[in-house]
Order: sequence, then C-alpha cells, then structure tokens
Amino acid sequence: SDNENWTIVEDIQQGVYISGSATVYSGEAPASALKAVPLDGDVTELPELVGIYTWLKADGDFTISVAADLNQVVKYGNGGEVKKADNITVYTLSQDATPLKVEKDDFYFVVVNTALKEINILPVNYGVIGAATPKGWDGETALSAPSFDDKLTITWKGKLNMTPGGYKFRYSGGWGQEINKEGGKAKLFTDLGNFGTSQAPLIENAMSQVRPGGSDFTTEVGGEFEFTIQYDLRSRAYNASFDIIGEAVVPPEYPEKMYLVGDATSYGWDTPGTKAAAEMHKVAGGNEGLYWKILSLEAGKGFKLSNANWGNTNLGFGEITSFDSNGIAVTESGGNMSIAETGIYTIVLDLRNNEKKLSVVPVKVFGMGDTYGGWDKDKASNLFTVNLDTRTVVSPPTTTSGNLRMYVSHPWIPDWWQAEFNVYNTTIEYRNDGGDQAAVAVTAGQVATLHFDDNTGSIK
Amino acid sequence: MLMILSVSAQTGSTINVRGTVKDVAGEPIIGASILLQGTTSGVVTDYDGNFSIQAPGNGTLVISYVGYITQTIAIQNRNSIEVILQEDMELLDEVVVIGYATGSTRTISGAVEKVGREDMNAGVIVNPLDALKGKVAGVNIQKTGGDPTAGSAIRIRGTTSLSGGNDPLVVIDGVFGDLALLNALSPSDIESFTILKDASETAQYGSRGASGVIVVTTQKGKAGTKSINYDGTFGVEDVYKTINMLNADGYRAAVESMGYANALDKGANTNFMQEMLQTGYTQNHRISFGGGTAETNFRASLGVIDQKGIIKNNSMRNYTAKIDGSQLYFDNKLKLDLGMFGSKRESRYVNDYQKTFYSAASFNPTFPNTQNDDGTWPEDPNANEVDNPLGRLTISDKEDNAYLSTNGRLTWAINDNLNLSAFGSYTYNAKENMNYIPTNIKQGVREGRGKAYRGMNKSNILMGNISLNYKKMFQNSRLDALALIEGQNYNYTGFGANARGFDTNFFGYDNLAAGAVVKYGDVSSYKNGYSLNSFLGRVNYMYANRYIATVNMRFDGSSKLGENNKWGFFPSASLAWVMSEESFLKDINEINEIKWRVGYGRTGNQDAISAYNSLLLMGPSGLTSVNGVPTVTYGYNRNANPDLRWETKDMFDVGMDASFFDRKLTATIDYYYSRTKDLLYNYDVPVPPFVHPKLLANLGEMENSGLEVSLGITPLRTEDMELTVSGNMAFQKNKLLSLSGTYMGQELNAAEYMQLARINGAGFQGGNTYVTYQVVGQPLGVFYLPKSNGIINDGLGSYSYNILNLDEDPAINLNNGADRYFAGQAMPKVIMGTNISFRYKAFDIQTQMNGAFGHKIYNGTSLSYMNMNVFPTYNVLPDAPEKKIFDSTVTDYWLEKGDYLHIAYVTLGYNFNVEKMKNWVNSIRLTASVNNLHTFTNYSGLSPMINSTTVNEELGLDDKRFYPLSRTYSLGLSINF
Amino acid sequence: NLDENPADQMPENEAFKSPVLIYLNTVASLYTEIGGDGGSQGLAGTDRGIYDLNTFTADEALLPTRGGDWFDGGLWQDIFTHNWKTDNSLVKGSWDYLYRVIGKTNQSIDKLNALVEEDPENSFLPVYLAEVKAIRAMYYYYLMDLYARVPIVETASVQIADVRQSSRSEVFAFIKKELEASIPLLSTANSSKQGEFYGRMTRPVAYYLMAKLALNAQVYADDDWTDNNGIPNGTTTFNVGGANKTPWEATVAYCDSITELGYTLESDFSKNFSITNESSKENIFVIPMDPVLYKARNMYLVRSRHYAHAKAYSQDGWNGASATKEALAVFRKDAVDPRMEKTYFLGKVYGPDGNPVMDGDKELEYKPDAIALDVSGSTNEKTAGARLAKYEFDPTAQAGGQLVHNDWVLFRYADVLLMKSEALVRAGQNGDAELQQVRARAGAGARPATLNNLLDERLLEFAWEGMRRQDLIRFGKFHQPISDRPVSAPYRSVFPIPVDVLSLNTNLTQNPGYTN
Ligand SMILES: [Ca+2]
Ligand SMILES: [Ca+2]
Repeated sequence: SDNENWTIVEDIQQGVYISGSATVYSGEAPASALKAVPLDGDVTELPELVGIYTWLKADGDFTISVAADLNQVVKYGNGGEVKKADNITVYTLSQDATPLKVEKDDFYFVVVNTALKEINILPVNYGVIGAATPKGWDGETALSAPSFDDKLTITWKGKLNMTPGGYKFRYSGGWGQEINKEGGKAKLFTDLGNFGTSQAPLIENAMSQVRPGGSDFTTEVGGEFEFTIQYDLRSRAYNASFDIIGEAVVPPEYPEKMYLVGDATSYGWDTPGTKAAAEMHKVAGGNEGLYWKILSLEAGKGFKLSNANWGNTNLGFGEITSFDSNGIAVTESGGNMSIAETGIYTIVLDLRNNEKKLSVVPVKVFGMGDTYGGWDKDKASNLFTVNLDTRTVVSPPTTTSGNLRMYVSHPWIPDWWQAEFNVYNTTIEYRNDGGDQAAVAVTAGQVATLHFDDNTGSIK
Repeated sequence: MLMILSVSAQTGSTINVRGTVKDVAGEPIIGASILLQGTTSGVVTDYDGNFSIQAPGNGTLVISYVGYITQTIAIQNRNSIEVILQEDMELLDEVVVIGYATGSTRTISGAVEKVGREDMNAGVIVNPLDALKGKVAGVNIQKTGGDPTAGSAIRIRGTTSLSGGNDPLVVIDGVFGDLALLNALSPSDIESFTILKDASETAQYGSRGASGVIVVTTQKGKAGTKSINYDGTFGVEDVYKTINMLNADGYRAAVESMGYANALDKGANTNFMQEMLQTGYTQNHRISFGGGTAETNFRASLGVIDQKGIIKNNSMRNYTAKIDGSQLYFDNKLKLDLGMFGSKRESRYVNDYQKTFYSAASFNPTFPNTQNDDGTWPEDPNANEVDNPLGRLTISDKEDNAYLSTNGRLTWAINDNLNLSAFGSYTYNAKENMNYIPTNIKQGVREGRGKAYRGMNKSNILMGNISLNYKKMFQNSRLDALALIEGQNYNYTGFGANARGFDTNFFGYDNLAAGAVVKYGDVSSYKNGYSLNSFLGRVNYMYANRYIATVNMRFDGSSKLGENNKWGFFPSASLAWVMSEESFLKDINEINEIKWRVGYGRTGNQDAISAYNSLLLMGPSGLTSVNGVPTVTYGYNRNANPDLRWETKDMFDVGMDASFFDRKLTATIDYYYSRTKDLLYNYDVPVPPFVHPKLLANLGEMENSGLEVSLGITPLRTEDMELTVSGNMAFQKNKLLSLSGTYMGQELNAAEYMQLARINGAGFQGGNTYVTYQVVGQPLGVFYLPKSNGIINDGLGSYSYNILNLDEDPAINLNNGADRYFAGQAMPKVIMGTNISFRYKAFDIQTQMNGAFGHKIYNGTSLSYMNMNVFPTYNVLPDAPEKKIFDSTVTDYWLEKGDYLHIAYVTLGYNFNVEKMKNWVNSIRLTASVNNLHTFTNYSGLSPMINSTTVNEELGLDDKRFYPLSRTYSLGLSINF
Repeated sequence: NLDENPADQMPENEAFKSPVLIYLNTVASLYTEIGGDGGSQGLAGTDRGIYDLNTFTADEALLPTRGGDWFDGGLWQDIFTHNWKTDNSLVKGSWDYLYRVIGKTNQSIDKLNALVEEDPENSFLPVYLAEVKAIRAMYYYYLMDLYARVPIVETASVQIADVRQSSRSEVFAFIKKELEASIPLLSTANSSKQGEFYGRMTRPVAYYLMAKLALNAQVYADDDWTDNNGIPNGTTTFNVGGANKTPWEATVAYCDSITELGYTLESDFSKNFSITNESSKENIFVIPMDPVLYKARNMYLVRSRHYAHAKAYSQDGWNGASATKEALAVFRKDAVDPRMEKTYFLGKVYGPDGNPVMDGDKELEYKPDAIALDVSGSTNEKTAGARLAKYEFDPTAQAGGQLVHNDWVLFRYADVLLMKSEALVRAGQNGDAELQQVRARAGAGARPATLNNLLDERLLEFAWEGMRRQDLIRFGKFHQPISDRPVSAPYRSVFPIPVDVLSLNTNLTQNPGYTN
C-alpha cells in the first residue's frame, strides 16, 4: 500500500556535521549536526565555532561535512596534526583528505573552527569536587571511564565518601579549555567542568537534567554516595543523580539556641529564651555544636544551660558528660552547677560527638589586628583586663588607628576569628557562625569596655 | 398451478371452463387473473398459462394481467377458451409510484428508478437499505464496520447541504418518515423502492425533497390469491480482520531494547482486541400470510431479526409486524385502504466506539485479562487516555426503539376520470435509552461512583392530505393532473434522568434511586414540535405517446422558519421525448426504447432547522445562589435567527433511457447539475456582537454535478440458463462556491477554514490536529494538510515526518493559511455497483461488488499507532519499534487513496422442484451466502469503508474507532404455501 | 397554523413579569456564567481558558509533555514557551467566553433600560443596572488584561460593522468609569459568604477591581507595550472620594476601603481553600461551588495529580500541571516557606487512610525538581513535578473530583494587603507592615517590603491562583528567560485577537507583533 514503502528522506540541511564509522550517526542529520559552542568572556558565541559532544570509536574513522546549502556536502578529513596533549588534540581540516581517527573509544567534545579549518578533539570525563568530597576543593574524585550503550547514552559512575557540604561535577581537564580562534584564543564555556544548581538540586535515585553553572550542589548528609552522570546523544542533555549506599550519615542536630540561666547569673531562673542576653554564641567556621558565652558567675549559687523553654537539651550538673579538666572545678548544687569563686568566666559547651562537655575558665579576651600591632594570636600585651567591680572587661588602649577586632580565647575554639565580636554603638554583636562582621574603625589610644552580662560596651 | 379461491354460488348450470392465456407472441402468461364477473371467485393461470374455473355457462370472465389490456369474455357455455391479451401501451411498463402520483415508466419525464423485489440484494439482509445497496446509480449506501446496531448512511446524488439535512425523505405507503422509520420495516415486507433523484420529481415534496426521496411500497394482499410464506436465514458471523498490535513479548522486547525505565510489566500476555471478540450470529425469520379477492384483500406478517455482534455484549434484535387490508365499496367506486406496521428494536451498543477500540488497541498487553481481587479492572496508572477495554465492555448501553405507524386512505372514483383521495397517517415512536457505567471501572470513577441513565424520547407525527386526481385519455394524448393539500404535525417529547454514586452494580439503570447523587441538570425533559402546511399541483401530459411534459408546483409553509419567510415555492418542470416511438425508429426491432429527458426543479431543506430556531427564547441556564438559595435562572441559550429561511436547491437534469435487443441491453444515463443556495449551517459568527459563537443561518452556495450510468446486459437467456450483468456508476463532483451572505441586512462571512475532522487520543488534544475542512472553492470535506515527502532519520535512527515549506516564510508553520495545501477530497468521485446473477436450471448464483474511487482517507490509526512517543504507556503496531517514528505530526504522509472494490456477497440458491407437492406447497428455495467476502484496496488501514459520505467530525478520517470486520456465512430457506 | 408555541422554552414576555423574575433573568442569570463546566468557560477557565493563559505563560507552573500524554499537538509547549499562535484554542475560547457574558450583560442592560423607561420612578431597577454594569466592567477588565485592544460593545443590538476596537487606554478608562459609577449603588456585603450576596458583585469586589486597575495603570493605560515600557505613574489619575489621586495613592485608598469593610486574614492560610471556605473572612470574590447544585468545575486538582494519587481518593487524576523550578526556588529561598507544603504535593503522598499512595508496586513519589517542559522517556516521566495541593481534597466531590464544595477563590484579602504594600513601596513609602501581616500569618519570618520581595511574596501567597502573568508583566519580568523558555518578545504580554474573530469581522486588526 501507499505507506508500507516508508519513503525515507535523505535531505541534508545546511550545516556542519560529523559522520563516519567511528561515530554513532547514520550520516549528516540533525543529531550529527554541530551546534554553536558557548564561550566564556564577552563574546558568548562565534559563528565559526561549532561543536558536538559525542561518542567516538577507535576502530573506525570520521569526517566533518560542511553543507553550504541543501544537499551540497563537502567532506573534510585529516589535514595534519596541530597539537596533541592529554586533554586536547587539534588537526587542520582538509577537503577530501584521509578521515580522522581517535585512539580510544571515548566521549569527546568535538569543536570545529570553520574559519580556521581546525578541529579540536577533547576527551571528556567527569569527577566530583567540593568540600563534601574527600579531596575538598583541591581536586576532583574521578568517576569511572564512561560507558556507552545502545540506548545512545554515555554513563559515568563513581562511588565516594561524602560529608555534608557543597560539591560540583567537573570535567577532569579543569574548569574550562582554551582553543584557537582567529587571532587568539577562545575559552570554551565552563560547561566542560561546572555543573551546579543552575536548574535544580540533584535528586536522589532519579535522573534529572543538569546544566552548567549555578551554585554548588549540597548534601546535608554524609555517607557512601554513588554518582551517575549520563549524556543523552539524542536530546543532547546531561542528567545526573546520586544514590546513597548503605546508611546515610546524618549530622547531629544541635539546638538552635542555648541559654545560660540560674541565680548564679544575672539572668535568674526565668525560662530560657525570655532573656536575650543569656543566649550563648556559636562558633564560626563550621564548628556546629560548640557554644560559648562570657558572663559573671556568683560563687555558691546555681546555674544551668538549656535551650529555649527548658527543652530537651536542659543541662544540669548530672547531664554534663565531662568537665574541662583544665578549667575550674564545677560542683553540683541541687542538680544545678555551681562554682567556688565569683568572677567573669568564659563558658564553652561542646555538644559534638554525642557528648556534653563543659568548660568554665576565667575570661580571656584579646585585641587583634592593625590596631593592636599585628595578627599574632593571644599576644599577652593585647589581653583585656577584668574589672570585677564593674563586671567589665577592658581593653588595652589601641596602638594605631584602624579597624578594631576582638575575640575570646579558649582552647576548645580552634581559631581566633571563630569567636569574634565587636561593639556597634553600645551593643556587643557576636560573629556567631556568620561571616565577617562590619568593620569598626577606631583611632589610636582608644579603649573598649565590655559588659558581657547584658552585651553592652563602649569604645572611647 | 391452479387455485380456486371461492366457489360461486351463482344459479344456473355450472360448467368447468378450461383455458389458456397467451400474449400476442404466443408465450403463455403466468399469473394472469381470471375472475368471474360480478362475483369474488377467480383463479390465476399456472406456468403454462392454463387455468380452470367453475362458472355458469352464461357467465362472463374478466381476464387481466399487469401491463395488458383487460379482456372481458362471455363464456357462452364453452369449456375451453383461448385468450390472447394485448399489451396495454399505457401500462406496458412497470407501474411506478412517482411520489403522490402513480404512473408508468412510459409516462415519466424525470429521473426515477425503481427496484422491485426481484432486483433486491440477496444474502443477509437485516435492514431495508441492505436490500437496495449498490443497485441504483447515484445512490450511495455505506455502512462502516460490522456492528449490528449501526445503521447505514445514504446519500442520493451526493451531499448538497452543509447541514444535517442530507438524508433522503422516506415515504412508506404514503407516510413520511426517515431512515429510522424505514428500519422499522422488515426488508422482506418491501415490494419496491422507487428512488426519486431528480428535482423534477422530488419537487413534489418541496421543502423535504432536496436530498432525494425514497418511496417504499410494501407488499399487499393480491386479488385472487392466498398464501403463506416463510423466509428465514441463519448465519454465523466471525471476525476476518482486526487490528493487530504489538503482543506482550514484542512489547517486552521493545521496552528492553529501548531501555524504557517506566514500562509496567504485569507478566501476562493478553491480546485485548481478541479478548473482546466472540462469534456472532444473525438470524432472520419472517412469516407472512394474505389473500384477496377482487374487492377485498389483506396481508399480515411477523418477523424477527436477531443479531449478535462479534464484540462481546453487542447485539440487536428487531421484531416487526405489519398488516394491510383494502376493501372496495359501492360498485368499486370507493376504496378503503388501511395499513399498519410496527417494530421494536432492541440494541445493545458498544459504548463509545473510539474509546473502546482505542483502549483495546493501546492497552498494555502485559496486563492480565482478569479482574483484580477487589473486583475492579486493572488499569495502567500512566495511560490517561485509555481504560481497561474489558472493563469498558461491562458498560451496559441499551436502546429500545418502538415504532407504530398506521395509515388509511379513502379513494372515491367520482367518475372514470376523476378520483378524490383522502389520506391520513399517524406515526408513534418511543425510544428508550438506558445505560449504566459500573463503579468498578475507570469510567465509573470518572463519572462519580457509577452512573445510570434512563431516558425516553417520543414522537407523534400526524399527517393528512386530500387530493384530486384527474386522468383522461384523449385521442392522441393523455392527461394526468393532481391537486393536493397537505398538513403535517410533528410533536416531540422526552425526558431523561441520571443518577450517580452507587455502592453496588446490582441495580444498574433499573433503580435510579439506588444512586446517591442527582445533580442539577441530571434530570430534564422537553417538548417541541412543528407543523407544515402544503399545496401541490401537478400535471403530467403525454402527447402522441412520445412527447411528455410534467409540471409540479408546491407551496410549503413551515412553523420553524422566520416570521417573514414561512412560505416557500418549489416548482419543477420536465420534458421527455420517446424517440423510439418516432416513425423512423419504430420499426427497428432491435430498439425497444429510447427516451430523452430534461428537467429542472427546485427543492428545499428544512431538516437542519429545529423548532423555535427563529425565536429568541429563554431556557434554564443554570443554578445560582439567590438570597442564599440555589435558584434556576433563565437565559437566551443561543443566537436566535429571525431571518431563517429555506435552503433551496435548483437542479437540472438531462438523461436518456434506452433498451435494445428484446431488452437484453438496457441503459440509463443522466447528467445533473445542482446549486444549493442559502446554505443552512451553524456558522461561526463574530463574538461580539453576537453572544454565542454559532448562528444557524442561510449563507453561501454549493454546486453538485454528476453523471450516472446504469447498464444491464443479459448475454444469455435460455430456458435453462440465464446470465444477467448489471452495473451502475456515478461520477460526482461537488464544490463549495461561497460562504458569505447577508443576515439581517449585514454582511456575514463564514470562517475561511471550517474544521471538520480531527485526530483524537493521547498527544492530540489540541494543536494542529485537524484533517478535513470545508473551504470555499473546494469540494465539501477536503483534506488540508502539511506536506510531507517522507520520514527522515535524525541521524540516530529515530524518524520523524519531513515537512516541506509551502509558503514564503521559510519557517515551517502548520497553521491554517500557512504551510498547508489541499491534498484531496474525502468523498468519492466515483461510486459503482455491479450485480451479476446466473441461473442454471434450479440453481442460481448472485453476487454484488461495489466500489468507490477518487477519494482519500486519512489513516489516523496508523499515525497514532506508529508513533513511538506514546510507547510504552500506550501500545503500538508491531512495526513501530522497528520503524522508530517518534512523531505524531499530522501531515499528508498518512493520507492514502481510498479506492476500493468490495465483494459484498455471493449467494447460491436452489429452487426445489415442488411438482410432487404442488397441492400444498408453492415453492421452496434454499440459499447459502457469504457476506463481506473480500475488499480489493491499496488502503493500508483496516478497511477503506469508513465514513466517506457524511459531513461530520469523522469525515474522511480513520481514527482508532473501527469496529472489526466480520464475515457472515448463512443459510436461508424460503417456502411459499 | 404556522405559529410556534414553545412549551419547554420561555418567550421573553414571560421572563420579566415580576420583580423577582426581573432580578432572576437580568442579574442572577449572569452569575451562572461566572463558573464554568466546559473548556474555556468561566472566570477560572475550566481547564482551557483564562486561568491557563495567566498561569502557564508565567513562571509558576507548566503542563509538561509526559510521553504520550499532554503533548496535545504542541499546545501546552507553545503556551509555555510564549509561542502561542493566533489560532490558539485557549485564546479563542476565552475571547468567546468573555464576550458571550458581555453579550448577556448587554441583553440584561437593554432589558433593564427598557423597564426603566416604562417605570422611571422604580427604585430597584437602577440597583440592578449598577450590578450588571459592574459585572460587565469586570469582564472587560479580563478582556483588557488579556487582549488589550478590544471592542467596547455596550448594547446587544449592534451590527458587525459597528464593532470597532478601542485602544487599551480607552478600554481602561471605560472600565474605570463604569465601576466608579456603579460602586455607590452596590451592596457593601461580603460576597464570599453564603446568603443574599453570595457570589455576587458587591462593593468590596468593585473596590478590589479598582485597586487592580490602579496598581496596573502603567500597563493598562499604555497603548504601546511592544517597547516593554509602561507609562509613568501619574499620567492617569483616579478620582477617589472627590480627590484626584495618582494610581499608587488610589490603590492604597481602594485597599483601605476594603479593609474598612471588615475583611481580615484568616489565621490559617489553608482555610481559604477548604471545603467550607464559604466562612472565610478573607475571600472577597469566589465562584460558589457545590458538586450537586452548581455546574462550576474545578479541573485543576484533577488535572494536576497523578492517577494513583487520585485513585486513592476514588477520584480522577490526569497527571499534568506541575510547579516550575523557578517557583520551587522562590519557595526555598532562605528557608523553606511554610506555605510550600500547603501549596504543593512534594515527594511521597498519603491516601485518606494515611498509608502511602501506591503507584503500582512502589510508593508514589513526586519529584518536584525533575520537572522540565518535556519529561518524556525519563524515569520521572509520570512523577516529575510538584502538584497542586492548595485546595483541600473533597471526599464528597463528584465527576471524579471536578465538582467540589471548595469555592474557587478569585480575589482575596491577602492580595489587598500586598497590593497596598506594593503601591506604598512604588510610591517611595514603607510597605513593611502589610507585607509582614501576610508573612506572619503564613508563619514566615519578616522580610522588608522591597519590590523583589513583594514579587516573591505574591508567588508564595498566590501560587496556582491565576495571578502570575499580570504580576510578572507589572514587574517587567514576563519576558525574562526561565528554564525551557528563552527570552520572549514584549508583544507577547498581550494575547492575539483570535484569528477567527479577525476573519469574521474585517474591521478588527491584529495586535502588534502577531503575524501567525
Ligand atoms: Ca513556511
Ligand atoms: Ca462551596
């Protein structure tokens, strides 16, 4: 009948194509057409730069076809090697010359510069990089060599141990690749190496399309992850997913806010959360679960640590799993904690590793930076003095004009900037787990007076 | 054979008179009636023209036979009488009912064709149109698929109206009806069909005549006979072609090779199409009896037609009854005829064809053919567009359609020339529809936990006319004039009720109170009607046996039309010249007849108009909250058109009838041209100023023309053997001339591209999916499609339809007016029928082939089922995974030639020799038939016999809705006592 | 006798015999048109109409192609990618619907005017007239918003040749004038509550429309939208209570008028969409819904949810409309907005028995982030996308879930607050308080009322409510590229005059930019 002959049209539309026995294509057709290559920099595309991500086999060859008009095809072959490196091979293209070849079956980015008559062949493999990965941001953990199946998809897979944090997929060659253009170099858009959240987060156990750009993917949990990246030759789209093998390592959850209360403090026994000044501070730089606070404690009276509303992180003496042996002694007082000597203390609570460790030490606050003659940590001359009568901590006069920086020093807090604070107008504001605080400019000879119990202070 | 009806009680010596009746050529006349004058006793002649009658020696015999001049012979005590009957020139030819008038083929000047009993189709005939199919040039009867509940579509001389009024008027023994009323008759009760094709005669029916008229005469009792007949057929029906989709193994293999992650595999291997099939049967039984004398006759019949379809739960049963009688009074001056027929037709439908057959084809073949444990049918959660087809078959969708029609006629012969006749009829129809969608199928969930419907539609139709007929023979001429006034009244009422929310399927539609939910709008009723008043005058005049003129003038007034347009005038005139009667031909023996005809007439169409279409009326428009209480409001629910008027058709016809060589070669040729004006249609109108986007209005013009040829050849005619071949062929051409006009004094244009048929189903619910259109300058039903030169590989083995640019814009745009072209017409250019019959002694064989040519069919079924985009959610054809077409764009790729030649049936008959039982049996005939033997076609779909005639949203489109093709093998028995 | 005497249809002289009938057949009958039961019908569009044109052309939702489903000849892709053609069936259907109702209002107005002429002293007829004219103005508001250059037809007896287009600014002025004239005669009642004014055009509804007109005045009074620039504030003025006000001032004034009528936010956001939302103190204008009484349908739950999800509730599901990635991103900005779970089905879903919904052998799990315009062939073909959860499941729904008790919300008070906040911000004042009211009710933290935050807030609050297109146009972001949609031309902010309308009335001309 009419339609059982299946009239097959073999028209070739205007364009540049890759074809040959090394390719997966049946000829010059929409799927084998090279398309405009996105570039970095001011010029996002050049008309003469076209490319295609594709699978090429070693036991076969290929040519580049240029169709100037409908069915007007000119074939180009190998016109000589220009450059050969691990991550790129460049040949000139010559009309009707010997077809091109690749050395191994692999996934390649083939970019043709029709003006220069050059072909760039880049093998493309992927790895995972980022804080969440074993190598951090220093280098990617490679996924397996790609496999190709007859569903026309190229698949990379790899297992790695992840910790909570950010990551990206990156091309093994780096963040980008430079190729020749007329009178210079063009940088191929970093889609070679930078898959982020430009479309959406990655979905567990379900392939979803990923596109270059965007911020990092993040994972809230750690564990052994198996990543899969696929390129679909038909839709020319990347898809990726991850699978957590075994149990996900869920990071512990810490109370959003901890408070210090008790008749030993100036806050009394009011419900934790009602007095804002009783709040403990967090530690910057990824030290979740660590809290600190400077305050005055009266000897012989009780204090406790608790999250808001006497929640289930309500720590009396018995709940603390260990006290800092280098700190001062803490004793029990009717389930509460008590100390022997009235004073201003730094209290540090460490809830990490399923423990509840407490350290109570006399306060040690230092000045830092330009106004205190340099960036040495815990420099004795920069130690603030304690005035028990006024319950204040007072800085030495600043040595030069500049931005004032101050911190509490405690052995459990690894770095000085992680427990920073500053005075704005008359209020002490803490860095907590945030970023850099706004700069506070002072002139030489000024003195900061800090009253931690109600978080007020002055710089004079 | 000889039959004595009654013995005369006349006084005087009774003698036995034997005799022979022959024609002038000496051939015996079989069945001539011999009546003893003044009595009711009579006999008819046997095969050899012999008769024998007991009669007083001084009596007088009246010998008559149709087509011969009646002779009156005094017995004069003779025992043996030779009678030679002279052919009656006036009645030489068959008696034909020409609408209101009766005449003979000789006096006809228009295009009229008659199909008598002996010409009707053999084989399995379950409705009257089956008997007529393929017999008359220009009459296209089409039935798609083998569903016993489905009717046939019929078009006489093509489609001449855009609207619904394209079905011919059916007149049964003077009663006006439609195709449904025709179906209320048992085909065996029909004596003859007369088809009025040409406006020179259809104009008698004025506003009803535009689409042709089928005049049906039923069998009546015959004077001087008594008879009992039994006809019966029994046939087995089996599928011979249905669509074959990818089977479960193929489905799995395709899923595997293409790597579909989503595919469901339920582990079974089910061919859902096969699961729906069964072996059907057809049986048809009819008994009739009757008799008559010169003054009284009657006939009664009872019949049943019983069909079981090849799809499970699909069946039809039709009971028919008919009784007729007539009586002469007052010296035969007054004649009273009474007729009555009734039927009850019970149909069980396949609910929603397309959904059911589409579901059967597309359903995932790995699903089991059984119900789930909870009684529901397994459904593919991903396949939105289809339901489990076996679940769908449990929908019960029935119709009971009862007709009762009675008619009476009083004819008073005022004098020899003048007859006054009064006719009245009453037709009652009650159609009850019932359906129930069970709770345990997907459709039942969709409808709200099952849905039951029950509704009744009734019609009461009264008509009556009084006519005066004047017939007179002059020396050289003959005048036949008729004057008639007529009134018709149509009355329709009905109601319907739905209930939903069932918790058991036990009640079905038998207790609507078992449904928890009845919403506003779920119950409804209606009443409407219209009436027609008419006047008709007709004159038929023949001069010198060879010049004939006929003039008809009819005035129709209809209540349905606009205030100022209620009356219409429908005149016609025709002339004929019987050339063979001219002296220069009269003596050529080889020429039996040559007659030239020419005619013109105007007819109307009113079926597209419903009652009250011209009035601005308010009906319930819905419920709204008024003072916090749900209240029904009323609104104008459509655009009223006070300007509505008749659609009129002017038709010109020229033709010739000829017969040669002792009528062994007959031919009829007609050419016609018609132009329909003020086309009635539900036009798109601009909103605003109109409130609704459609307006029933009279706009535009259309023309039709055609050539019809009928040929009959009897190359062989001996006592033992006779071969007859007849064929008819109609060439028809149609063009939409204009779709603009005035409405209430303002210019109105119809949309440039009026869309007709579009593809349905998954992935087709919008966008550019229309296939057939109505466009000015084109035939009705034209394919307007993007052009594809084939499928193209994307380079990775996936194919799509390569679409060509046709307009100036190089981009491909599939909108109307952009990259589309007129790719052919949906309606055939040529329709033909061929009938061959051959008799050898007691055996005879008959066959019919019919065909249609020059049109195209859009194979939407293949487009849909070859599209791999829908896979694996929907199943595809076995070829599809390999062909890898990932495209469902509607292009001309799947537009195919629709030409076909179909062998409708072959029937073998045997007439038993009843010589030995002649005292009690008249004839016994046994037949064996095969229906739907074969179709020759290049069309790649299931069958080219889709809807290529009716202008609707399926015209020319084969789209996943085809009922599987069946073939019937049957045996028939006919006995006359 | 050829006269017709209809029995099941009523001649006009029967339909206006008493004041009750006059009200029923001139005013009440219009309300049956506000909800729809077929494609393109009703102000909610009923599955192929106004709602879809305002939703899928924006950045909040899409109807993805899922293999064999929802391709529909490219219909939905065209709409989403701003490639709709002049023969688009939604564009045509919505036009026909809106003008059909306008035609009916004109029939009512003609009738009422005739009755007034007979009885000039009548007291209720002018009230009816005001209500009908306000309804007509609302319909012109939709027409102007969608098609801009539309013909103003004020009576049912117009010839085709007299139907001429007006410029958008003229239509805008007409609507403004008509509403202003009607407002004093309208009842101050709450239209969303059952009772005398349930579902009716009352004063707060008219105020709301006035506020919308004012807030969008820069768009509506602009006769050239192809330059992607509105006209400056102050070019048009509103007369509020005798004082001339700039659009921003007018917006604030109309919003305040609504507040004065006693509207307030429901404490529970979801209450506005519940089965019993007639009692909402927040909803201003709704389509009354009842599965047995009214014909109006809500197609959107059915169209959105997965078949298995619906089946668990013995209802119908078409597995279609889903939230875009862009919408999800707004909901996830900073912290996950508390309205996210109340707006979308995300991830696993549960049946009425509390058990996970099974999709075949496995638990159904929506994959919100796997959404794309075409998900055919992907593992998430049927599960990609977050689905509509805003309207409470009605277990007594009919027609597979299309006929429900939850009234469809067209206008609500949260919008009044956000309109006011936006007008204040645009006028250079502080709108924090109004924004904060809306956010606090949702349980979301405070954000300053900046334009960006307001646009985000409008999505968070009004997702799935058919407002997004208008909002994006007002914020100048309608044409910006999003996933699967490149940048679109400014002329696309107005839909084409349907090609059939143009071919039937040659006096009309196509909107700029459209060729096919
Ligand atoms: Ca084109
Ligand atoms: Ca309600």
